[in-house]
Amino acid sequence: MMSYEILLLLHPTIVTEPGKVEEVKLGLARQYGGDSKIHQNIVDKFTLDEESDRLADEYDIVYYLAPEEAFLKKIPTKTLELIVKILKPNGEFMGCLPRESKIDAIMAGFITEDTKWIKPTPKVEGVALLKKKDESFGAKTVLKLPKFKKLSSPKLSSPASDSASVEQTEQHEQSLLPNFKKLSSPTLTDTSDLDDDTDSFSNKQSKLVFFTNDGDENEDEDEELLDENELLIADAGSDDLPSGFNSKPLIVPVECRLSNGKKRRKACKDCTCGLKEKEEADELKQRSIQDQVLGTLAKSATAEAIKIEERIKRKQESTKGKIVKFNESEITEIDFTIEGKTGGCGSCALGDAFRCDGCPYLGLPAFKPGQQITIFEDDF
Amino acid sequence: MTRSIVILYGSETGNSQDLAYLLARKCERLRFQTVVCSLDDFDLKKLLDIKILIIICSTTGQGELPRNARSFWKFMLRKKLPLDLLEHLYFTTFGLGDSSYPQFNYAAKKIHRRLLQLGAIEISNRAESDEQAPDGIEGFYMEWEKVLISNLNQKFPLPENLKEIPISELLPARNSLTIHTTKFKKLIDTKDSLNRSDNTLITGQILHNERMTSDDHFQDVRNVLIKSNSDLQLHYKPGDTVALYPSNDPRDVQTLLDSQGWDNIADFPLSIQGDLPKVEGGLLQKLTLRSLITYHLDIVSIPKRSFFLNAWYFASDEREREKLLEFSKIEGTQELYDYANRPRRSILETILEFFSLKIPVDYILEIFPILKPRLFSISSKPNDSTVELTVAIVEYKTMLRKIRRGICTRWLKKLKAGDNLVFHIREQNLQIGKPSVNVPLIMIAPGTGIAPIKSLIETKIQTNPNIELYLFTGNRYHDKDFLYGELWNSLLHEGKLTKLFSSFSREGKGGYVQEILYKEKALLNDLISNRNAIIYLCGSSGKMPNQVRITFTTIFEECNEDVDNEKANQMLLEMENQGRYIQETW
Repeated sequence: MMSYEILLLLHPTIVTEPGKVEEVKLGLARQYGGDSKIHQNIVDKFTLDEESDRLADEYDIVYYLAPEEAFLKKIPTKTLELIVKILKPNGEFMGCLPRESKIDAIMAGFITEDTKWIKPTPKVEGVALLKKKDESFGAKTVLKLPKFKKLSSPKLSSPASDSASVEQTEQHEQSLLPNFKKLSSPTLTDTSDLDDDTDSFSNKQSKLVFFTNDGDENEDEDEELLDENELLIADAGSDDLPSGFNSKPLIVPVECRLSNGKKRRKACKDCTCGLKEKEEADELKQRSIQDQVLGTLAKSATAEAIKIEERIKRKQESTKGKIVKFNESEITEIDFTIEGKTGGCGSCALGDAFRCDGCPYLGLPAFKPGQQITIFEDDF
Repeated sequence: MTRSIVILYGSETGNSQDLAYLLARKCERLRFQTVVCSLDDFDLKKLLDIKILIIICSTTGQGELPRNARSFWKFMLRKKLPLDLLEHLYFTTFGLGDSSYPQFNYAAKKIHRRLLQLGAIEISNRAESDEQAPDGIEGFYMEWEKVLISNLNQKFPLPENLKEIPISELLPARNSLTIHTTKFKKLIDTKDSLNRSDNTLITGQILHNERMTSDDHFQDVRNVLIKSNSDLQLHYKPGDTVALYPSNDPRDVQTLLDSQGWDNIADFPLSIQGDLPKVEGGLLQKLTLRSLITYHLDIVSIPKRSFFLNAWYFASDEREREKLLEFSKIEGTQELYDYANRPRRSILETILEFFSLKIPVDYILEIFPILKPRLFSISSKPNDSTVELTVAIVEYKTMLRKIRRGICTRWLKKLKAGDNLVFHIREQNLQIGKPSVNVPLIMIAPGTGIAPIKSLIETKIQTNPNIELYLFTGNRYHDKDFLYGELWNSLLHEGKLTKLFSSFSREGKGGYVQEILYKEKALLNDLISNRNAIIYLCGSSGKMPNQVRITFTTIFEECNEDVDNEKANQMLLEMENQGRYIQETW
C-alpha cells in the first residue's frame, strides 16, 4: 500500500476536544494505511511558520479539523496559498472547507469539489477527471462518468438511466464535477461550441427585422411607443443593467480661480458679485479713452472729413432727394500718418490680439502706420 | 475591423452640428474614420454594423428633441425593440441645454437612458452643458471631449503602426470648391436669393416694416407684416414661429473678398464636392463665391475656439500664427473670451487684424460657420396669408468702436414694403392654443415676449370667448415701449381681456413683472389652485424666468396652509409636467 504524507491542520480551539482529534487521526490512518505519516500543526502557527517555506509538494493530504462554527468563517487567502504549495500535485485538501472560501480557493489554484479541494497537476486545466476510488472517507460515491449539472434544475432527471443510480445521486445531492456558471445570466448555456462569427451574424439578422419598417408610414403609426417621460424618472439603483441605469453626467466645476492663478475675469450672465457692473464700467471708460484718441487725431483730419461729408451729401441728394446727416462720430477717417502715435510697446498698430491691457487703441481696428482707416458706422 | 466612429447630432440652431464636426476632426487625428450627420439622416439599420456611436443633442421647446432628431426618436421609442438590440455598441452623449429652462437637457437625458435600456455600453461619461454657465457650452464640451478621447484611447488604442496626427499637421479639407473661370460671370441679386434647393421654403413679401417704439426710445422694436406670395395657404397656430434667412451686408462681403484676394474669382459659377454640411433652407441654386459668402456663411459671428483651431495654419506670419494657435488651446480660454466674446468681435474683424491670414477656398466651409435662420414667434392670429412679427432690433455697444448688430435684425431693419424674402413656418406644438383648453390663462410677457401671447389672446377671443384671460406685461416706459398697449386697453374695455397688469421698470416706482405677480398672489393662487389655470411665460432667458418661478413658489407657500418651500417647488414641477406651466424664453 502506498504511504501517504498527511498533514492534519488543527483549528486553535479544537485542542479543547482532544477526543475529536484522536478520532480523526484514527480515521485517517485507517483510510490511508498504517504506513502513512500524519503530521500535526495548529493552523495559524502553520501559516506563520517559516519552516513552511521548505515544504513545497510535500503532502498528499491536508486535513483541516475545525469546530462547526469555523465552517462559516473564511480561511485566510495566505493560508490557502500555502496549502496549495505544500500539497503534491493531485493532493487533496479536505475537512472543514468553508463555503465562503470557495472562490478564494479557486483563485489560489484549487479545483474545488464538494468534499475536497484538489491541487491540480500542471498539465490539467479546468475539469478534474473523476478519480476512481474504491472507498472514500465519509460519503459513498458512485462511479460515474462526468456529468454537467444544470444549475437551474435542482434534480438530476434522466429517465433513461438506472433507477437505482438515480436514487443514489439524489441521495447525495452532490455534483461530482465543478459547475460551470456563466456570470451574467442565470441560465446555463454552453456557448463554447458556437462559432463566434456565425453567432453574431445570425444575431444581427434577427435584429434587422426591427429596422425594416422605417419606410412605411402606416407601420409607423401603428407602432406602440414607450412613454418617454418615464425615461426621466430616476431609478433608485437599478441592478439589472451592468452599466448602471443612473448614468451621472460629468461635473464641470466653475472655478473662480483659473489654473494659472489669476482670478476669473469674466462675469456670469446672472452675475451677483458686481463683476458685471465693473466690466460695463471698464467698457465705458475705454470708449471715452478712444473718444479722446480719436478726437485728438480727428482734429487734424477734420478738413478731410468735411470734404468727405459734402461729397456724400451731394450723392445722397442726387439719388434720394433726401439729406442725410452724418456727425463726426459716425464717419471717422483717422490719419495715423502722424508721427509718434504708437505707444511704448510698439504693438498698438497690431490689433487688439496683440495690444496691452491698458492700450488706448483697444477697440480700434489694426492699422499699418501710415494707413488711413475708415470706421464705417452704417445704416441711416 | 475598420476603426470608425459615427457622430450624430440633433440640432435646432446649429450648435450641436458645429460640435459634431469639431469632435469628428479630433477623432480623425486619432485615425478614426468618421461619419457625421443628423440623427434623422442616419440610416438606422447601420446601427447594427457600427461599433462606436456619439450623439450630440440639444433640447428645444418644452424638453423636446430638435426637429432633425424626431423620426430617430420615434423609432427608438418602439416598445418592441429588444433589450439587447445595441449590446454590441459603445456610446456616449453630449447634451446642449439651458438651465433657465426647467426641462434642462431633457432630450439628451432621454436619449442616453434609452440607449442604455437597449443594451448599449457607455464608453465615457455623458455631459449636460449649460448655456447659462460662465464658460457656456464650450466649457462643458472641452472637458467632456477630453474624457472621451482618453477613454477611446484606452478602449480602442491606436494600432502599432499608426500614430496620432499632430495638431501641426493640417487635415485634408472635407470639401473641394471649384470655381469655373471658363464660364460667364454671374451677378447674383435678391431674386436669385429666393431660389434655393429647399423647395419647402415659402416666398413672401413685406407688407410693412414699422417701428413701434417711440423715436426717443433706445430700442427699436418693429412690427413686420409678411404675406405669402404663393397661392398655398399658410397654416400656423399660436406659439408657432417663423424662420427667417438673413444675409450679410454686401460691404462686409466685399471687405472679406478683398482681404483674401478673392475679388477676381468671386462671381464665377461655383460648385462644391464632398459631403456638404446640412444647410437650413438649402443652398442657392446659383452659387458663386460671393453669393455663398453672402447668403450662407456667418462671417460676422463671434469666432469660436474651432475657428482658431482651423485657421491658424493659414497665417504666414509667425507671430500671428502663434497668437491664433494660443486662442485655440484650452489654456487660452480666458484670453479668447477677452478677445472675442466679451467685446463681441466678429470673425471678419478678427481676419482683418491678422494680416497674413489667407484662407484657401477649399477650407471656407470649415473656417466659417454656416449661416443659420433666426426664429421669431408669430404675433398674429392665424390666417392663411400673412404672418406678423414683433422684433427688437439688436444693437449695442461694447468696447469695440464699431456698434454691434445682430445679423438678422440688421438685415430685417433694412427691408421695406415690397421686398421679397423666403421663410419657413416652424410648428411649436403649444397645447394651450387649442380650443379644447378653456381654463383661465395667466400670461406673463415682458418685452417682446408679448409676440406669441398676442397671437394666443387674439385666437382665444375668437375660439373661446368666455374664458378668462389675465395678462401681465413688462416694459420700460408707458409712453415709449408699451408694445400693443392700445390693443390691450381696448380689449380690456370691451371685456374681452379679463385683467391687465402692466409694469414699467424705468418710470414712477418702477418694478418688474414678477413684482406685480407677487402683489396679485391671492388672485393667482385662487386661479391656480381652484380653477386649474395655465401659466404661459414668454420673454428673454436668464434671470427673468428664474425670478418668476421663485415668485410662484413663494406665492404657493404663502397662500396655502400646509405648503412649505419643498412642497411649493413640487407643485410647480407638477404643473410643468402636466403642461400647465409653459416657459418660452430666448
